[in-house]
Amino acid sequence: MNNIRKYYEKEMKLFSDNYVVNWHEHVWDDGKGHMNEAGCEALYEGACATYMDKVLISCPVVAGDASAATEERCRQVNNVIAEAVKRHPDKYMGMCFVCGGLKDKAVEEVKRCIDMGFVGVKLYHQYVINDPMMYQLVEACIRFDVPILVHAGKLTYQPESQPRISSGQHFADIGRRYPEANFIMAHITGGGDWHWQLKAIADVKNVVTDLSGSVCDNPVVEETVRVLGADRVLFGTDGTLFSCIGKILGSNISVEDKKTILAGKAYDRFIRKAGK
Amino acid sequence: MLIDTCTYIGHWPFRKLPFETLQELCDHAEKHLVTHLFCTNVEAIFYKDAFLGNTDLLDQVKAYKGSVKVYPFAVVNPEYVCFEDDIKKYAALGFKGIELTPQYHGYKLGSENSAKAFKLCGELGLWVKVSAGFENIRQRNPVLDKFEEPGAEDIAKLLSASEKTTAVINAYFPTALGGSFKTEVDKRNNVFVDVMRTDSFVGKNFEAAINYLGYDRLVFASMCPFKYIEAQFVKLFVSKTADEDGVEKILYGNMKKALGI
Repeated sequence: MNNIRKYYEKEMKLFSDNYVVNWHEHVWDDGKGHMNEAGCEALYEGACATYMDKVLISCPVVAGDASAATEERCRQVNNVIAEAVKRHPDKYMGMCFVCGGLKDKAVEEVKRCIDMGFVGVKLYHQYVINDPMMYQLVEACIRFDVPILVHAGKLTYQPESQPRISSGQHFADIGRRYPEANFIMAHITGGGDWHWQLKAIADVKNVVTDLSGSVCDNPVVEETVRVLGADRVLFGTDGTLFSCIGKILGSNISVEDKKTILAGKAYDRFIRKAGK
Repeated sequence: MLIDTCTYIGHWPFRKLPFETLQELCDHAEKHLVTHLFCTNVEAIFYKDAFLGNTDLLDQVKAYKGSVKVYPFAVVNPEYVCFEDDIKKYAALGFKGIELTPQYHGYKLGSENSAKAFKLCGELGLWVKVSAGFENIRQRNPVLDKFEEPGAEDIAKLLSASEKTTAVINAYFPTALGGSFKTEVDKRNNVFVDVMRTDSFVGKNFEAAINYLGYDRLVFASMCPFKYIEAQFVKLFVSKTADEDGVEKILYGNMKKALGI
C-alpha cells in the first residue's frame, strides 16, 4: 500500500506546491440566516487537507422561484457568508448572492457586499442570465468590475426541475451583449451535457467556466481546455472535493495548464482587488 | 497490490471515451499501480445477443501479454433466449463472472430469471456484478439512453436468490442501498460494495459507508475509462476516517481474500 500512498502524495504536490483558488463552494444556512457551522468547519477542514489557498463561498437561495429570493433573504445569506469569512479569513472569500429581479435593491446589495470585501456575484436560476431583467445587474457588475458566477447546465435529465437554468447559449448571448462583463458559467461537471455547454461558449471569450461538480467524466478536463483554453477554466469543487481534485490530477493536459487552472490566473485580479 | 473491481473496454455509444481496448486500459491501470482488474466489454450490452461481445473481450484478454491480471466479466441478459446455456459456456471459457445491466435490457434484478442467473452463477463459481450505471444519471443521452439505476430493493431480492454467489455492487452510494440490502449482506461475507461515488468533508458519505457496511464489505473501483481514477486515491488518503487497515482492505485486502490470491 505504501507505493500507492507515495504515488498519491507525489500527485498531490500539484496542489501542495502551487497556489490554488477554489472558485465554487458554499457555506449554507438554515433558511433563516443562521449559519450551518458544522458545514462551514467541514469545508475549511477539507480545504486545509487538500492545500487550497483561497475558497470562494456563497449561500444562494436555491429555490428557482424569484419570489423566494427577497431583499431581506439576500442580505441574510450574504451576512452568513460574511460571518464564515470572518471565521476563516485566511482561506474564505465571499461571493454575493442576489436575484436580478430585485433591480436597484440587488445592485445596492452587491455594493454592500463589495464594501465588505466580497469578490463577486453569485446568481442562481431565478432567471436565465440573458433575461432582460438581468441587464441592470450585469451593468452594475461591469461598473464595480466584479465577476458573475452563474448556476448553469444543459440538463438532459429532468430538465423541468430547473426551467430557468442558464445553458451555454444564454451565456453566449449575454456575453456578446456585454463584452466588458466577466461571466463564470458554473460547474461544467455539475450534471448535464457538457459538450453542449462548451460548444456554445467557445467563441465568447468573456465567458469562462469552473470545473466543480460531482461528474468525473474522463476526458472532460481535456475537452474543456481544448475548446476554451486553460486560461478560461477555473478550479472549483461545489461540495465534491475528491472528484474535483481527482479530475485535475488525472487529466492529460500539461502541468502548466493545470497550474493556470488552479491559480485561476485570468481571474486572479479579482481576488487581489477584493483582498486589499 | 491494487484491485480495481470496475473497468470497461469497448465503444460507448453516447460519447467518446479516452481509450477503448484492453491493452490501453491495462497500460493506464499499470501506470496507476493497479495490479488486478475486473473488466467488462460495454459493446456486449448493446448487442441483441451479447455473446460475441463477451468473447471479443476474452480474445483481448488472451492477446494481452502485460503484467496486469485481468478478470473478464460477461454481460448477460437473463431475458434473452438460452441465457442459462450461455452462462455455462462463460464458466467453461474462463470468465470470472457475469455483469447484469437491467437498465439497458428492460428487466428488473428482482425478476425470476435474474434470480435463476444469480443462482446458477453461484453453482458454477461465477461472480455477479451489478452497476448503478456507467455515467452519472444526469449525463445520459436524453433520447437514446433511458436508463434508471437498478433499485436497491431489487438488488436485495437478487442477493436473496443464493447466498453462495459472490456479488460486487458498483457505483452506488452504499448507504442508499437500504435496509433490505443490509439484511442480505449481514447474512454472508461474499457481497462487496465499492466506494467510488463517495466523498468526505462536505458530503460525509465515505464516512457513512464505512459506518454502515464496515471495512470488510468495501472495495476499490475506478469505472475507467469513464472516470478519472485519481479521485479514488485522493479519497482514500485524505480522509482521516479511513484508518490504515481500512484503506488496505478497500484497496485490495477484501478482494484478495475473496479471490483467494
